[in-house]
Amino acid sequence: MDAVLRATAIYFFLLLIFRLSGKRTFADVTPFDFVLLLIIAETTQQGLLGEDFSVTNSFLLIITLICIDIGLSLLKNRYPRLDKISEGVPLVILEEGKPHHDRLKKARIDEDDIRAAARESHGLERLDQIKYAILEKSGGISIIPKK
Amino acid sequence: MPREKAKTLELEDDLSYERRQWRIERFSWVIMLMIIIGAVCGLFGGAGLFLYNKAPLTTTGDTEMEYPRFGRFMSALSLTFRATGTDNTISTISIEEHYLNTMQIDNITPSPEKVEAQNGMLIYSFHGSPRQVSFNLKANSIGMHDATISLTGQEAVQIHQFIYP
Repeated sequence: MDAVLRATAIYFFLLLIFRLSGKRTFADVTPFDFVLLLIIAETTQQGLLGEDFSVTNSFLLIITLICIDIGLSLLKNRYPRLDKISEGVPLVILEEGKPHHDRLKKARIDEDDIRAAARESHGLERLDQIKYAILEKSGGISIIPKK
Repeated sequence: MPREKAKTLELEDDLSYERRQWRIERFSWVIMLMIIIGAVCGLFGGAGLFLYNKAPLTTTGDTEMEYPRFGRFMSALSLTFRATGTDNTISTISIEEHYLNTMQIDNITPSPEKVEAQNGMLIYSFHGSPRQVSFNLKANSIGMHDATISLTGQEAVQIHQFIYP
């Protein structure tokens, strides 16, 4: 039971923390973000395992984490509101070449991020070539070019 | 209804295989859920609702022993001896030496006054006649463990424990 409780607590704590940290936190992983992720993983591991390094404990932790994830995905499929709460919603950050500056500021994105996404996905050169730029739930920026 | 594959799409998909896989996936989810329920009940050691078993150590039942039915390799498990009567105490506890050889003793609370080996048993004597004694152990071998445990002048009790890897 201890393994199940620990895994459940850590899962929902991490879900909450990453949800609160915003979409863009680990969207573009810089070397420092990568190190931060490693530190979080290491700290989480200690909290998960405690002093029990048995194989059984590891199996139970993995099964519990996977089961919560499957359960949550099934619930999100059934209740779209839960999906909104846990994953957030996509956000239009640019329309017809005009950026929504207030949204960009809140989402901690600048125009250069949109330009970079436009260059990488469609080879576009300027913002006015973009019909829509959308900040996706995953934290990535998708670009729909003007025809 | 079979899907008409676009001729331009070079894709080696197999819907019947996918359906079989979905069935297996869902079956495995049920198995995983059952494992979690088992873990909550204490079937895999650690902690659990039905993990600990109580065994009376005296004919009157005024002293009992609590031990986990399941443990995990090199993780903590405890044997607790408790005087439940109004005026009885615990002075000596005999535990089969063979059983303790498969365990690492982290501590005994309170500390025993002396330990003697006799006929394959280790006899722990306690000063001050405590009402509760705890052996905090770590299993250092996996599999089934049986032990004979008794208080002085009382009938021995047999315990069975399974230690998971």
